[in-house]
Amino acid sequence: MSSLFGTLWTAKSSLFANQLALQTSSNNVANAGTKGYSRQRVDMVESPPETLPYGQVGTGVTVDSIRRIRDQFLDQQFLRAQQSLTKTQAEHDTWSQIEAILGEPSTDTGLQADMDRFFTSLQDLASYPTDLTTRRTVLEQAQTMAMTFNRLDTDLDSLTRNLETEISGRVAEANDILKELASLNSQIQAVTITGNSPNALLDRRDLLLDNLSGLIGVSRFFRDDGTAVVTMSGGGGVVLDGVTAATLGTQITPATDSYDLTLNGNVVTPTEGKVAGLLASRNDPTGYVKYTRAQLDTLAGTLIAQINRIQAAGAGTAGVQSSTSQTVVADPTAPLAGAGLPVPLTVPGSFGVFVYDATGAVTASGTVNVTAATSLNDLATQLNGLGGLTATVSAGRLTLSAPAGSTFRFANDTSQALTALGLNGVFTGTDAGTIGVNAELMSRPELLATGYPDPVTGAVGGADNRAALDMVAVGQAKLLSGGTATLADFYGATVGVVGARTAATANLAESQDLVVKSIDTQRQQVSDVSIDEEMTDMIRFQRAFEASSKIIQVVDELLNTVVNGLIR
Amino acid sequence: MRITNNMIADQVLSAITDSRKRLGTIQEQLATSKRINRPSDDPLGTTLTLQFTTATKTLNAFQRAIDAGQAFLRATADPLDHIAEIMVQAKEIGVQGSSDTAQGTRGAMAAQVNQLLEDLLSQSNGRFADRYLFGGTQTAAPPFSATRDAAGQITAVTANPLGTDGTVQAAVADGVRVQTNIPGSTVFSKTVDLFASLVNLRDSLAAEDTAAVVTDMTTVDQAVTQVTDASGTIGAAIQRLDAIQSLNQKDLTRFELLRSGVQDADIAELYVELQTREQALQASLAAGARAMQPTLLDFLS
Repeated sequence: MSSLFGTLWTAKSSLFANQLALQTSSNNVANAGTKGYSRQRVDMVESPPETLPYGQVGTGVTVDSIRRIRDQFLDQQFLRAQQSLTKTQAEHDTWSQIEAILGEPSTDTGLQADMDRFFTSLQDLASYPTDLTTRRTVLEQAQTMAMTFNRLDTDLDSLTRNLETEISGRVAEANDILKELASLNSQIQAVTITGNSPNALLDRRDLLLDNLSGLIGVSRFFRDDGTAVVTMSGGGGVVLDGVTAATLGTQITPATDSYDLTLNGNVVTPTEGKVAGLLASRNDPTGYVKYTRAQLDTLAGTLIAQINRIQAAGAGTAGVQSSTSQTVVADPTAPLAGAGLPVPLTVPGSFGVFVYDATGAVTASGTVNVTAATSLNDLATQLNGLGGLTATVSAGRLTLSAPAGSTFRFANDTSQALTALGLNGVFTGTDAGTIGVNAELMSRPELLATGYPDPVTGAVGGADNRAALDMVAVGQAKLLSGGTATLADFYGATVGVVGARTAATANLAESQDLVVKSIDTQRQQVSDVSIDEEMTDMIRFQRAFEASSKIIQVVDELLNTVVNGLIR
Repeated sequence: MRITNNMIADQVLSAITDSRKRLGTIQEQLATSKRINRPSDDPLGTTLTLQFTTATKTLNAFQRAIDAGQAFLRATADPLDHIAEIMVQAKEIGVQGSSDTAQGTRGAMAAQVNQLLEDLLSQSNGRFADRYLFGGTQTAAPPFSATRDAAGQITAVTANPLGTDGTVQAAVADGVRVQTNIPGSTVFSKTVDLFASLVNLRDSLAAEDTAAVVTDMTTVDQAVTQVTDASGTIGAAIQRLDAIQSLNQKDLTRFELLRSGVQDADIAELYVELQTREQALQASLAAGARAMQPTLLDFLS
């Protein structure tokens, strides 16, 4: 049976519900700028009606739940799009850093300019082989070029180290997130089993999942108890199951020179996310840092071998007093042909040696034969046997010296032994990281070969520029890429590849970014707080609250009428 | 569709960032006046730019090598002409000396030939900037030295024992080498020995041996041909270098045009684009300022 107190009760339920709705709106407004916050709604339902003989009458309103507005399907889409984007961005960052290190195209700095200057200075040397200043210029340019190679190699090496540091930093970040997710899972489970919705915790977990996915690329599903199970994309394994978080780590695998991600101690290869991009940048042997370094090494190696080959059997205006091989041979008694020298030997082959006195007359000469069985010690024995030269082997290196006042020159090396051992070369080292200019030549530029000794008499012409011309020809010869590219072409193509990859990853990242943005906009449409909306709601709830208050006032007056009016 | 305040803010921000980024690119291109500032701006263009730059530098080096070669060849051409004159004069003297009417004047003729011989020796040791012209690759020492008798007359001339037959080449175009010297052996002793021919002629004249003079004359005749042949070789080399140089020059212009076409920015076009982009930026700033401002709050009292 209906009563005034019943009406009072109905009005009170409205006051409570609308006040709660106002508080929720207030919370929405307060968190309008909070990252990861989903707007909340108070779901109100009618209270069960009271059945009277003449029909049912309502008893007010009750709050069913406070719900966050969120579309899990969009979340999943966002994860997928974003982990591809972060991977591409990481790859793009690496390529553009490599691009910046190369510093091309430039007319006066950079490796291309240095190589151009080296070869044009050689061209000038061919025109003026007797001019000492021109020789110095050639060696200075060689030095500059070698230093540029070294700088590029060092910069690329530090890029590798930076990538490693960043990977381990990102992995630590992912571990922190996983720990927090595990703890959130257990809190969410505790609230969910009581039948309530832990809105703040869910928001926090969704935000962390976004972040984690950006790092290592994950997908997730939710159990009925509210806990999340997180697996790495591409079948990389479970990183979080309920309250158990896996431990991510890094390790170096020296055999393949790779830096790997581990999941509970086992190596895993992430396919998406920033870490996947960073790992590819660090490890991919056909791209990024390793590719660029390998290209530069090939370039430097070819240049060293070609120029040294000419220098070794060439003739400078002065003979060599003493020369020590640059290549260390592990076993001086083992055949050189199988010793893994930087340049392969051509066997059987030979090279000539001429010894000159102070006036330039030949005092001794001979031919040294190199066969498949020749060891470093054999070479020394043959050289000693010529008479007039002292050859010694020490710590895997061969040292040749002429007696005081005498000098020697090599001629016509068909075995490549001199180049392979690094005897009397212009350059030292074997690759971009180690290339340098022979210190003996730097201090005595007259040793730089411009001509060749006469193969029979050993006579040397000061104006003979055949060796210089041959060195010039190295710059124009198609030595690389299977005989299709000159040194400059090869480098130009490398720069082109770096540029193309940088541009391609930039374009890919841009289009992926559009996808991520569009999904994020859709998410915002659903979950973001709109101030206008909240203000409208506020007015709505405020009016309802006011109206209910008015009803209470009216009921009060009615009660007053009943209590005070009837007594008199 | 719900539009929230954050969405508007994000959109405005991303529009402005985008505009600024494009504006930055144009400003960089204007500042450097280059369309390609890093390989990723145009990978293929970068490779081409590098190729053209290297080709230009190589061509310039070729041109310098040609200049150096030309200088040496021209320096060689003058003494060669002079040597040819010497031999022609010797021939004329020989013709006179072989005639019977010359009886009694042959001593004076011998003295004239001796003078020519001295002249020939001095020409054979001619130099160009410290380099002996006819030394082959041995340009540091005099290629020819004379043995003299007690009276100071040249009895024989010997060549540098290290050889005067070395050739010097210059790389003047891709894969093209041109000889830029003429070895002493080619000029002075290829088929006949110039010095010996004059020494013999002089001695035959002095000895009034007409028969020997006639024999010597054949040698001198051959010597004239030998020297003019050498002159011809030099002339041909100079002409060849001239031709290559002008071809190289054309290539240089062509490569510079190609490089410029690939790498250089079109300034006028960039200015127009700059203006468009500036307007776009201002528009997005203005639109952003208006879109972000109002909320319902502004109208509730």
